Amino acid sequence: MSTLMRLSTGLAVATAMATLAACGSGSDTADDETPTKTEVVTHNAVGGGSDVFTRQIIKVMSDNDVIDRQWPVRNVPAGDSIGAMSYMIEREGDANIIAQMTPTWIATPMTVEDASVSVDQLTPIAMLATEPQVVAVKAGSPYTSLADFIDAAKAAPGTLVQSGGSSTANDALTRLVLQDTSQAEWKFLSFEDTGSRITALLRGDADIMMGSASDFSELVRAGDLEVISIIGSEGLDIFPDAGTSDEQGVDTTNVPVQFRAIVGVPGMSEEAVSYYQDALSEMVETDDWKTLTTDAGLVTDYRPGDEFESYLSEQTTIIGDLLDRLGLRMDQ
Amino acid sequence: MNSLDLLLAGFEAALTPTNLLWLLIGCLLGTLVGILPGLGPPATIAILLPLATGFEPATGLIMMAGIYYGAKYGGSTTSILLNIPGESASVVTCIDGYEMAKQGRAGPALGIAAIGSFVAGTIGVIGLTFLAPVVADLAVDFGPPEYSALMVFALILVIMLAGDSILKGFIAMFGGLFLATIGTDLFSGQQRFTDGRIELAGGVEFIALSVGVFAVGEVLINIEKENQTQIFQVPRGIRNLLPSWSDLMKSRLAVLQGSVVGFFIGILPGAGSTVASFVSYILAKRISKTPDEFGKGSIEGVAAPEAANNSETGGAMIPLLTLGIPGSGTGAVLLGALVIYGLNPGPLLFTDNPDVVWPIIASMYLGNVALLVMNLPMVPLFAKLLKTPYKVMYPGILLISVVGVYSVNFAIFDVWLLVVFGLLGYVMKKLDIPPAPLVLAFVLEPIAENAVRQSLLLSDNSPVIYLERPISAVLLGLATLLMLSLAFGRSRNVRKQVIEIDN
Repeated sequence: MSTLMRLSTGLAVATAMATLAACGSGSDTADDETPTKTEVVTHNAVGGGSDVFTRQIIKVMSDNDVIDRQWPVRNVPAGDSIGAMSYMIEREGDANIIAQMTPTWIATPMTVEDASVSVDQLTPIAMLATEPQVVAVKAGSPYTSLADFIDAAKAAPGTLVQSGGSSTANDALTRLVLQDTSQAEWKFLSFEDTGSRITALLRGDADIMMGSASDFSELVRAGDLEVISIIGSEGLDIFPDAGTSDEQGVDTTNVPVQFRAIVGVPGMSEEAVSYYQDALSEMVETDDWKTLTTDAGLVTDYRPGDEFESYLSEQTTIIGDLLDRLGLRMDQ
Repeated sequence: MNSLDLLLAGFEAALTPTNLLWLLIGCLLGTLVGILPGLGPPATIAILLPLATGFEPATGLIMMAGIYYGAKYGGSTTSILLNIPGESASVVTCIDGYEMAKQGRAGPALGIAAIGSFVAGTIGVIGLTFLAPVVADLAVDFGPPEYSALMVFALILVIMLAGDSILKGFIAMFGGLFLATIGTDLFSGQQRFTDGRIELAGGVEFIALSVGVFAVGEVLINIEKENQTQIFQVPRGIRNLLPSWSDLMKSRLAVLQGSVVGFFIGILPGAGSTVASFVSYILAKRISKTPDEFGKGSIEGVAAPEAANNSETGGAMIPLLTLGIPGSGTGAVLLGALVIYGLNPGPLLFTDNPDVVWPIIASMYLGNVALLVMNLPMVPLFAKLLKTPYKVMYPGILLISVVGVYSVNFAIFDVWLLVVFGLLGYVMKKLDIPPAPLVLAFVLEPIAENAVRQSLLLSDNSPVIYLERPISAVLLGLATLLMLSLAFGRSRNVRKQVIEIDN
């Protein structure tokens, strides 16, 4: 085989790679004033909590004729919300791109040095609901309330175990606040996936877990787990017997709230923002939305525009302070 | 009603024209995305979700399950033909599958993969049908200490994959372990070896690593070779394009063993088909009458991991359907789909929604048959693809690789990673360091590291926790025996290597 032959193969290879590399970086910059083909971004891979919630609200809107076609979901899981935000920021002014955000979008960029993205670059559209954290134990556990658990942790510091997610996840930050206000101390066992956190509880490796209502509801119904508390002041219909942490005398004022909201790309037109606000305000009045929130343990808290913006800045302060204390704040 | 009655009722419900149509579409789509690296079952299901949510839950889930195991059938194709492992479970298939292809036995390799997948897939579903309630506890019983012990066991097996040179196996394994530590640490939230790059915060993309080290590395090596006329021999005649009777007889134990191993490892969340595939590969080598053929184109070396990969599906459905706990990425997507349908996956799913669960299980029997019928006739066609001249083939392989890697996250950064890992694969080939231990260690590292750190947190840093828990104690005992047999059984070999290095 001639050298020429080999060279040409090499060239073909290089061209193929270069062409593809070029294809990827192109992005369409539509500056439409009104949305025509909406796409909803989520920072979860398919099947994750935010992904499922996003698909659920699209289904509610489409089933109730709030929107005339199912909006496609764009999963951008890279960098745990940073990738999704970069995707949004690259599409500045595009009326078609909105995203479903959670407090992760506030926290993650704070933990990255020189992060070029942040939530305040995006256009707030509306907050939809809060998702109170639910505290669960294995059935037959000695702890019947969050206060019980904290007392026990105080009596034997550093022995009890909470299973949960990464160190910057909401449940980890909640533990930090609770330990601080109560002077109690317990261990935190991190797992990547929710399934493992639950089996740790079932196996007896962990004593307590905080998560969303949907993490526990079926196992509670089957009698494997019990819910001992709902963080905050409002109870949940799905767990009528569980008291709130306020009722149990546990101070949770500084606990970051898990919420679900819709944001647009930077510089989204007012026309587009009000188009989405109209659709969302109509959605939260439907029966399907009410069923969805009850089943998923969400509390409707609809705040459009400015109201949402001030809520965001409030939560940003709480989360920022917590990360600062953990030594994880890198953006300052 | 017992399981058999419920299953029959499930068949009755599954056997409607609509369900069968969507089952076939699911299997076909699954096979296609399985063949191409990158776009995997989760992404495919995601694209179809808006469509599927309009269906009856059973119909939609039957289609999605079809994509899931269809992709596993298809996964072996590119591994065997082009040395491109499209998913982590196909890495082991590359070892002997691609060797067989180079020897002109691509047909028998693809054939045994399809047949082995069918047998094992069916055994896995039988296990799911009759053993689900009994073995579901296994998913709960495996905690951090148990996973730690299982990973010690698995990492020793990974080194054994290196063949004769244990030293090179170690080098490859440590390379994989290191690459897997790149990213955000779960426990502290700190960035490790990311150099502040956001693209690396979530870790190195698996597809970029595996496709780079295997496929791109192989292409680079071959471009360099002087004699290019024919790398693949393609025999004439249909008879040589399918496995012979003696191939089948030779592989039967490997298939059975792979089926059992795959099913049980499948039940454990997180471990999954990757661990199942190479555990069964090593076992097959140990019980084979011709262990020397492994790594040089052994048909058993294709049959065992492919069987394990497919019976894993049945096992993995158990924690999903009995506890609502997904064992894998695809499991998580199916779980999400159940939630969108308003079905709440958990311990009561079998009792509350038998009308959904049993048709899905029944459809898995049907899907396996459909996939065998679909795949076997394709084998000669695929095998003949290898007649493609290399100057078309190599750019083609690179094109598939680049598109595949790019399509995972739509990130150009991953394509650059592919280039880097392609060069790494080339260098490793030159130094005769096997790629499989590197890629498998990469998959195992997070499971191993997390489990060890979780265990030590539970025990306040006392290693006694590994001996206190029966399952982990037994596994560690087995690992010790394996280590001893490795050390003494090959002592001469190791000594020889050490002397060679000294010189």
